[in-house]
Amino acid sequence: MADCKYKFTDKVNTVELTGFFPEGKEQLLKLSTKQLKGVSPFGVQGGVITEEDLTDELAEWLMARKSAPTEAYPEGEFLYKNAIELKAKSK
Amino acid sequence: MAITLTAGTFTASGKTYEPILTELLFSNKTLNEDLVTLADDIKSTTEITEVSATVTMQAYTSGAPTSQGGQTSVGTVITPVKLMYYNEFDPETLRFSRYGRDMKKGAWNLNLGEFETVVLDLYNRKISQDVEAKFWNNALAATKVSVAAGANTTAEKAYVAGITAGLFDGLITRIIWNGGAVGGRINVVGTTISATNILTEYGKLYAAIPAVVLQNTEEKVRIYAPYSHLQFINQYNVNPANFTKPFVVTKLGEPGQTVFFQGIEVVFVPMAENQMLAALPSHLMWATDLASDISMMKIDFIANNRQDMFVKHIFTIFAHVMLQSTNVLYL
Repeated sequence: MADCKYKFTDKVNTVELTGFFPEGKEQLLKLSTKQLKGVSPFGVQGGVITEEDLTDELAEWLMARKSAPTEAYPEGEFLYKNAIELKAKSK
Repeated sequence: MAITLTAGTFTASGKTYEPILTELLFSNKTLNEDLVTLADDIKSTTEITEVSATVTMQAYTSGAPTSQGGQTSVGTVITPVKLMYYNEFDPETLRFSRYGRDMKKGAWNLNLGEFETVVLDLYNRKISQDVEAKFWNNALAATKVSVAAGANTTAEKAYVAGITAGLFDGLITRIIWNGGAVGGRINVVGTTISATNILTEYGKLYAAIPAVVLQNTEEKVRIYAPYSHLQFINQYNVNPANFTKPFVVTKLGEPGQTVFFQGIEVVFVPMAENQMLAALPSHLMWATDLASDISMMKIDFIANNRQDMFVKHIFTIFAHVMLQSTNVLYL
């Protein structure tokens, strides 16, 4: 999204999806592999949120997303705290 | 060409280990175990009708009575989407591998034999698995745009945004976005689930199920959950700190295994992680022309003057959700 003020950092991994994806104009599904840089808050089965999908709302939701509680982090850990930054932020 | 053959150092006089180790695949559980309602014989446009009624008790009068209460019948027209899988391959490639052994003598003969029974069978099952996964998780490009701009919860928007645009809307997408508007589902705000918090999160889902649905004696509500929850449930149950067992697992690892939570059966389907659905199976519909289409493949020569071949599947599918106000989506 062009108007999103956030972007992914370099720490975001590339996820490989293998499956049957639509191809061409016909209702055709072709077995192929896609390399997508992004995050999967719902596991690979739920696909990958790429930078193109990011909106301010989604980015802020991702930044607030926590892991399940563990002994070390009873409140959960922020899953994507290093994954998203403001576009204006200088390196 | 579609065959990727890594034949090792095979020679015609050499030996091969007879079994071929194929990928481990689930069969299509959603259809095989009737986890949702299969509506086949839907060739094209078909109306699905939902009926509801309200009744109002009123004081007796010997005079003119007042009409109260009512009946509502809502028709939704659905049209299963026609899809195909198509793949071409060249049996000539197989001549130099173990699959060449059962080809008949003669340069003309490139019959498939073992390749057909093992490799193409695996391909067939993989398609069945892919269709099942897409029945649960899929979204049209147009629906992705609508949900992104709509009034859904941010978690629902995140889920739909992540899905690669497909050729029909999957069931969860239909629950989220239905009839050009936010779906009428009961929403429970979800979080990341593990063995640590699975009891708490199932408790949230359970509490949101309408009491009348739980009391339904004609049909039992089910909890639909991702595969990983079976592991979380078992890990939860074996933790000695959890001395009560709210998850009742019987015949674990055996045919006929069942999992119940507070008296509700939990069934595991290829849903995405960190989401669950509580619904009556009759509210979730897999509409198609013929259920067996998914497992039927056609293999033939591409043309009469050629010896390369194709494998093709054709089927129709539509995921439909009914009586949305009683379906609870944890997401």
